[in-house]
Amino acid sequence: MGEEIHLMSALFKNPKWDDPAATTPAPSTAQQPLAAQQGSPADDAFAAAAARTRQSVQPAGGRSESLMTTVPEAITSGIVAGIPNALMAGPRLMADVMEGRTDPNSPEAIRRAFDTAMTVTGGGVFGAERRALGAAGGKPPPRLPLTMQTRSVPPATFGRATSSDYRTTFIKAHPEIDEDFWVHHAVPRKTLDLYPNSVTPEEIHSLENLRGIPLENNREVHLRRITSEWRAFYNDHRAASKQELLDFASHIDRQYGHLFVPQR
Amino acid sequence: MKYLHVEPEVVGGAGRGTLMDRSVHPPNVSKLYFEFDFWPRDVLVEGFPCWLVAASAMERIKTAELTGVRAAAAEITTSDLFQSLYPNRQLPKFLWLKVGGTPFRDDFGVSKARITVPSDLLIKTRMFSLVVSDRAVKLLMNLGLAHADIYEL
Repeated sequence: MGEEIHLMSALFKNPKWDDPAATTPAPSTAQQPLAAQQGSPADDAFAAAAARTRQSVQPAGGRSESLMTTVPEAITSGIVAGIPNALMAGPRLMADVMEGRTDPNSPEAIRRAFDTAMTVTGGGVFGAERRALGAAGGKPPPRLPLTMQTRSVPPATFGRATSSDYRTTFIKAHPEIDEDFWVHHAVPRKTLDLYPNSVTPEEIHSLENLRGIPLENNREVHLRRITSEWRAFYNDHRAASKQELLDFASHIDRQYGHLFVPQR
Repeated sequence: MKYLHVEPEVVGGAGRGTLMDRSVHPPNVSKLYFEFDFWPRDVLVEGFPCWLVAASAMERIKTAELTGVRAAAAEITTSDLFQSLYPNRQLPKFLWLKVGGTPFRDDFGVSKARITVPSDLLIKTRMFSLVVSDRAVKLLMNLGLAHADIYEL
């Protein structure tokens, strides 16, 4: 388990931990996640993981050499250990390495692993760390923001479905997808119950509102994250207009759309 | 006593057949059909606008004489997604956790104040959040609460 924590720690970059000032104790614990405080085995596990990450990740300003060199080791060790979320470091790279097409220690492999790992931080990689720490008996640190928050994506829109069989609608529109995926509603079906005057079933099940999410890799993690995002929205919005719902779906697309099939 | 803001993992939501009054916020649920999409083995989980607790954990809450909550029956189902993710996973018995305590006095309460949490989610403010005493959090963490986000208030 300790190895899993180490592997996953090496694959993400927490700005707070990158800040040298963050290595000194904060004067107050108010508003800090519980796990950031002292006093339990879980805290110790978290502190140890954080310390290892601080050792691996150098201060901001570029890709650190120590992080770069830990990534291929993490990937190959992940394969051997059978850790599903290690696959988050790049399925294609994994295949290349396992089939002998790529040297896991080559600069190209390191660069691809790094780029992929940075793209999915907060998703599968960090999710695995959360679970690893949780399984150790404690509260993992809070999830990190994904990286591609400033991407430009098409604004979310509704169309008009002629069928409530949204899966068939999506599959017919995307026959090119050759992997298993889950058809997800960008503006969730739940909004039909919560904001019935703002959306219609024809809009919710329209192709424009459907997203494909691969069932492999981080299926659970980013589906869970999207669900948590909408929970916060529901809590915050007693009422929501159609445009507010679409705007929030656009935010979600910007945050997680690079993980969809096809990508947003 | 210290109190903490607890955001359990969102594992699904109220399903078809749930009776809720949407004229108030959060909606007032009078009958709950809850559909699980995930279950990461936490004993306390959430699906707007309800919390659920494993029956075994509720027994421990009663034994510890923690205040501010009671349990009610709910119809529990699993979605196609759940069955796809966990073909062989059996859910333990879950109960609807009704939180009626006074926040910062009882062990469980719902705060009506708007607070900002250092969350990485897009929306940082929270209303109607679960406020739990540290002794209750410790009990739940011992039973399994690894995926909840917990903040000091």
